[in-house]
Amino acid sequence: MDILVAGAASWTENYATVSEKLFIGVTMALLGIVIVVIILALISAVVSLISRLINRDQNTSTSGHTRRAQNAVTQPVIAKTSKSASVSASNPSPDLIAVIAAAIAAYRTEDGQRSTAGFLVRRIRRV
Amino acid sequence: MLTDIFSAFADTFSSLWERSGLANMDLQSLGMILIALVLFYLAIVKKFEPLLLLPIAFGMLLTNLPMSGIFHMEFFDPEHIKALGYEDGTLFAINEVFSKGGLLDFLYLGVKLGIYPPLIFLGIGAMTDFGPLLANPKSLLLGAAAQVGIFVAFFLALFMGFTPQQSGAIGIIGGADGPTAIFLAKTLAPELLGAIAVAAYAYMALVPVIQPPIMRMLTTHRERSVVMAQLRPVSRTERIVFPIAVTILVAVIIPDALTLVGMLMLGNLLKESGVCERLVKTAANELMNIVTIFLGVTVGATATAEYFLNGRTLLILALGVIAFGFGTAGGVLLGKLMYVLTKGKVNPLIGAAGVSAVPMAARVVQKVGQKENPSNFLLMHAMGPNVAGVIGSAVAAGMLLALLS
Repeated sequence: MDILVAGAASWTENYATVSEKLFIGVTMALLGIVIVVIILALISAVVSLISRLINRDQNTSTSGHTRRAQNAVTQPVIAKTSKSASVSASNPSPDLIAVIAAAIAAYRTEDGQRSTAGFLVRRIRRV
Repeated sequence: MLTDIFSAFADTFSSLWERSGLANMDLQSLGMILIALVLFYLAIVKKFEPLLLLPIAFGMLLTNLPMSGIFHMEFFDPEHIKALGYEDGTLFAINEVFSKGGLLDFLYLGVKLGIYPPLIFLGIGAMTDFGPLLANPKSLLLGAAAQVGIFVAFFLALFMGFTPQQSGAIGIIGGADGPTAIFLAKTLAPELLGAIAVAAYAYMALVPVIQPPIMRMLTTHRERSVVMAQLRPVSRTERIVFPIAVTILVAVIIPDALTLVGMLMLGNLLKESGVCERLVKTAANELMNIVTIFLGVTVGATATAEYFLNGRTLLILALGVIAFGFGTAGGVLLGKLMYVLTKGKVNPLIGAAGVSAVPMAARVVQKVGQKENPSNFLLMHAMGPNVAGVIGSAVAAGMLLALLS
């Protein structure tokens, strides 16, 4: 581009004859459209690349989450749950009580009955 | 005694008549006032870009009212300044405005110094959603193809006797972007600024009239009826990275386009960052509206009978419509190529939105598309090429600036 700009002053100076006008007109038209297309094509390529990189990262993290979730499902959760349940039944930890209370509060509305998702908490029983 | 009183009355009335607007009205000014009235009609009754056309028409009216003296075009006329023997026209204009100028002279300095167009671009950036463009980056090519009108008009203007610099300034009307046209014209051909600005804004307002016949002429019913697939959602990170990447890229390749593109991207980054709500509101509303009023009135004021009503202006208006037509055709033809290459997945009409005129050109695409297929919604697909056209015309302006100034 610098080379073109350096030459710009001279090659557009003479435009008296038809051939000179033709030269300037055709050169400028071709040069102009080619440069604009190249720059926008470059921006397009950069945008595509950025999108691909960002979406790949997101896909990786999403698939990572999914994998972890799948692993969690495939692990023997029943045994674990029963163990923790027996622990809490005999000696309930304050953290567990707080979590359960928060979950119940989240499902309740101000009137204390109807949940926001259309669920109704009828009874809370300590296991 | 009686004769003295009569003589005093006669002198006073004669002096009043000589200083009245009616006595100083000439046919040319009357012609310009009529043009201003037509623009009022288009803006108020037909609602063609009233935000721009109304201030332009009022500026035109103000400047052509006899004896108004509200605006002094001669302060900014390069030929007049050269005739007075001054080298630096801008410095001369500033001195004259500060010593003898009126309100519109002061406001016009914003055009002369190239302040308003970048500020308008800042506002456009703050209002623009580049999501459709990011979802379909290929639409940038449609924005490039629609710039072909600029170079066709350049070619024709050269053969009609304009200098290469004037031809470049006239050609940019085909970019369908008022601020870009003003930005380029004030540098390359300040003597044509009034005519170019009026032509650019008038044609932007007339997009719904100019484009549809060309779009219909170049496409078949089947092509116009294509329903395009829904665009993918674009993440916030992509939206934030885009303006930064484009600014760096443009600065590296074509620095002359950086003033416009940089401000456009700054406005967009403010919006997409989500942390500058107050600045976005100011850029997109208050600042944008203030600058639009200043720009519109002063550009209208440059259209004085002396500078506007001549054969050169008529040629510029004719070249402007040719540029617009070729730009539309260029976009539609590339759209047709994309239609063929994608086996009918791209509606070629969206190429017409590649001339910037945001969002009018995209709305026209939606309207023409829906006439063929009422269940078709092309607006978001057309917004991609439309915002690409803004970048494209700014890049083309930068290129012309680099090669011709």
